Amino acid sequence: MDALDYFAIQNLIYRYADLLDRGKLDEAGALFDHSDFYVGGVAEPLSRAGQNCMAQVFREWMSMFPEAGGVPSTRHVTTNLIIETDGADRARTQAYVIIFQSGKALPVQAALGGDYSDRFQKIDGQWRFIERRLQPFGPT
Amino acid sequence: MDALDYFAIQNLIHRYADLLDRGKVDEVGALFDHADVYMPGEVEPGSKAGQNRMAEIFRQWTRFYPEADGRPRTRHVTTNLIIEPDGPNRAKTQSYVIVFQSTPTFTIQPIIGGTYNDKFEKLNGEWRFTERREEMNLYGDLSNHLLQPYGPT
Repeated sequence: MDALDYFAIQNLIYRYADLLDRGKLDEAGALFDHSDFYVGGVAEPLSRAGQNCMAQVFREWMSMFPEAGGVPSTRHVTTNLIIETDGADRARTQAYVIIFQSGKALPVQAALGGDYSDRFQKIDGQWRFIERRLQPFGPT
Repeated sequence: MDALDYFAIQNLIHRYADLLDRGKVDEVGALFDHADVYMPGEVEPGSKAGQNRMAEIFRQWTRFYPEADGRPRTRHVTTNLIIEPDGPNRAKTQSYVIVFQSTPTFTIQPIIGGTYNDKFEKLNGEWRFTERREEMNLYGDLSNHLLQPYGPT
C-alpha cells in the first residue's frame, strides 16, 4: 500500500458519511454491495455481500425530514481513523463516529456515537468495502 | 519523512484514544514508555521516559467501569491533526481532543476538550512517542469520568 491507497480508503469512509447525511440512501447503500454489514455484537450481518439491501436497511432505520429536503439532518462526524495493511490489496481500518443532529426544536447536539471496524479490498484498482462492523456507543 | 510516516504517526495518535477508550490501561500506558508526559499545568513531566508510570497515572485519575468491561465509557475524539518533521527521524504534532462520554444515566455529551502537543522519533523503523504535553481548556461535566477533582486553573 502506498500513500494514495491510504487516501483512497479515507475518502471512501468519508464518502459514506457524505452520502448518508445528504440523504442519498441508494448511493450510500451501494458502497456495501460487496460487503457484509454487522451491527452490534450480532453474529448475523444485516446485509451480506451481494444482497444489496443496505439502502433498504437505512430506509427502515433512519428518519428523513421532508422540510429539510429529505435529508436526515445529521453529520456523521468520523474521526480517529487507523488504517492498516491486511495482506495483498487488503486493508482494515477503525474509526469513531459521533452523529450530530439538529431540527426545528433541536439545537445541534450529539445524538449517538459508534465505532466502525472495516475491511477493504482493492479490485481492478478500486478500493471497496468488504466488511463493516458498527458498534454503537451510547447509553447501554 | 515520506507519506507513510505521516500515516504511521496518525495511527499512533489514534491508537492512544482507541486503547484508552477500550480500557486497555497497561497498553495505553506503554505507548509512553519512551516519552515525557506533561499532564495539564505540569512544569515537570508526571512520567518521564523510562519511568513507565502512565498506566498508574491513568488508574489514579480515570473511572473505569467494571460493568462496562473495564471501559471508561468515553471516546477521545481526536481531530485537526498537524504533523511536521522535526529533524531526522523526528516529528512533532498537535491535535485537538474533545472527549465524549455516555453512560446509562448520562446523555452522550462532550465533557472536556483541549490540545495534544506531541513529539515522536522513529527507531528501527517504528515511530514512538517521545513527548506529550496536554493542554485542557474546555470543561464540561467530568463527574462520571475522573476520580479526582479537576477543572479550570
